[in-house]
Amino acid sequence: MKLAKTAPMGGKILTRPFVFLSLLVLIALVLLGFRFLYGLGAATNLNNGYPWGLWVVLDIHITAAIGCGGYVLAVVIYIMNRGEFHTLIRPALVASAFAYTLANLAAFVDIGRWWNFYQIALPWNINLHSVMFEIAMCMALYMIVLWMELVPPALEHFGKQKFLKSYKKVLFVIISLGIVLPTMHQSGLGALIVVAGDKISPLWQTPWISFLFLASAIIMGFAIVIFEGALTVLGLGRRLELHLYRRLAKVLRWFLVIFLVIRFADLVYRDALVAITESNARGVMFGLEIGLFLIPLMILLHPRWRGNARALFLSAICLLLAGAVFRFNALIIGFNPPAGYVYFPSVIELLVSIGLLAVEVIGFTYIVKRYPVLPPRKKTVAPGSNSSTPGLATNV
Amino acid sequence: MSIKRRDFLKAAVTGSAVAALPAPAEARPNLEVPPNAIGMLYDATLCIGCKACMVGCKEANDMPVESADQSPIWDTPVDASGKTLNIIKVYRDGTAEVKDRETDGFSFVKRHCLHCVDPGCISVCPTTAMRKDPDNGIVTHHPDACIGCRYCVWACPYNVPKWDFDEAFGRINKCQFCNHRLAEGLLPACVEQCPTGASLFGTREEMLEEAHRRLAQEPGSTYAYPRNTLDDPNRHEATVPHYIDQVYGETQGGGTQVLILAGVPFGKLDLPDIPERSFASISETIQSTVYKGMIAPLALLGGLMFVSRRRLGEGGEK
Repeated sequence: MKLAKTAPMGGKILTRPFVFLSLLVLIALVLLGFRFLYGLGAATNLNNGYPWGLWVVLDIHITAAIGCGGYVLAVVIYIMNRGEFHTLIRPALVASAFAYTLANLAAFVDIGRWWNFYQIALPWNINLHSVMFEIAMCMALYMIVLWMELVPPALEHFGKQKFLKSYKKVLFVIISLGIVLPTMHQSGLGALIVVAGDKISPLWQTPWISFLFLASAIIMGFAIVIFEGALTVLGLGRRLELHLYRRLAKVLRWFLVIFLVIRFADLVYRDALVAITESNARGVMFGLEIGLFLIPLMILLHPRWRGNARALFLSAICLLLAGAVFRFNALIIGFNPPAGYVYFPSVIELLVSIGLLAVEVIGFTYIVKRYPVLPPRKKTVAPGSNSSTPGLATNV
Repeated sequence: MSIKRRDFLKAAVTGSAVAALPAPAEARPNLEVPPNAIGMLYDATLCIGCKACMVGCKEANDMPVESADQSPIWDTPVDASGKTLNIIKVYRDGTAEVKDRETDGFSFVKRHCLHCVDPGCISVCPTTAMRKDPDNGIVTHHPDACIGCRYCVWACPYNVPKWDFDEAFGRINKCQFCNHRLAEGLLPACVEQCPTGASLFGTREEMLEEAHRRLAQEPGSTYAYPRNTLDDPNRHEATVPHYIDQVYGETQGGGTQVLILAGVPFGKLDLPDIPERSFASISETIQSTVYKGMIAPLALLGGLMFVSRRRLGEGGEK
């Protein structure tokens, strides 16, 4: 397997978007200070009817699923032996490493007794029955694994060739862990809701929920690779390797088909579709979720649309939103609180979530500019890339 | 190509499919009632809504006054919370004329931890901060180990554990069955304060027998209702109401140690209709099937290491 060549992008760090995003991070940091000083009740709209809100769903569940780019590419490259995708793995790993770091950070921010967080790692406290325990352990470990997968670019950057050579000999262990751990906790994030039983609408409370969470995380992993590829073109002026994304889309569509077949077969088998009448919100959000999965399916099943850079980008966005809405629905919209409780995220919750997202963008940009992550710029156009598509495929 | 596919399928199918599919090979049954399970019987038809039990609970557990209008003068919580472990709520319908009647009637209900036989909060807690006494079955919370993830709040089918959202350094609070008082040979505070015997203390077995005895009485006849405990001589005679013919907590979610009788359907009292098989047992069946001895994840890891090592070994040569 031939490893792809990579080089630091170079360029100014302190660009205008960078300053703007830093401002968002700063705001989030101040608000986090408020949260730690005055508590969850003061900073969020969480209550004893809705003890989990935006931070749990967006900053942990969805961020972790968005961080699955490194996971799916590792499977495609190392297990399915598609070395041609190697140019994509480093940027995907950087994005995943940031996503998982932030998801772990968000977990720390969200737990009410953060000063006690180490209790979860004490052997005498372990509860192997707890899905939360499994998720917490896997997500923390996987965060470490992701950064370890990024040691080679750092070693290249600092010219430690000898160490790099020996490091690569054990890389297979790290890569394998980097596949097992997400498989475990992405399904676990779905298994989390099983114990809530009737408190979750039958639209989302299904024996297949672990499988559906895992499958949708894989779908989101493919989607984020395509999405980030397009963004790197727009934001950092890279050339779009459209032929690679097309082929990813071909693999992706099978996961999408399997996901939707099982989603619907299960709903029909359990006679659960009637639950869309439970409330207007549930009906609308379920429709939105399914629609966001179906639109990309139609695009990706159509060979001509699949080859179009814009259609591909659109499907990636739809799928990221679909997975996000699916998670929101399963954990919040489909949740039956005790009578009298309502929840809508507070401004602080929103601004902190936005700030965490900004950290990811800033971190990603910084690393690809300073470290050998992206393939070096070339003048030649890759075979099969659709250079006539304006906007996306333009080489800068 | 076909060999590579096979490698991938081997690794992926054996591992990830096992890890994600619902395949309960050996179902974990509901947990059993502990040998010396204590119990409480709350008879909503005897409750007069005096809230003496709430006062007793606050005193016994050293909990602060909580009022809806922020005044520190009197205790007027609207729901159980981080500061209120026990609360009397009311169901009312239409003109609310007759006690313990569903239409145009009303009923009180006392809400606190039901001390499940197979508690969801214990199953979900990542740090074993929720524990059930193996002998008397009391479900206790231990904040020392708690990280505040609030999974217990989210998952409890009866919405019992409460996070202290008013506090910067909060904790989970829930009824501990006054285990500190029981240790001193005292009754749970709510039972001790109850003037009508609506809250009764004993073993779970005794409470279940007493509940069925009451259900067997002819409505309109008189019955000598015990106060505090069954063997307390201080009984009072009252007319037997029209009970809903069910002891809530006998089977719900695998059973609870606090049992409830009422004259209006339990659903009206926010006591959900929960199937007999506990949600904890369903969740744990899936978990233990997938992670039994960590065999599936380790097999997946082994398969992946085998395949990825070969792939990386090919590096540079091609």
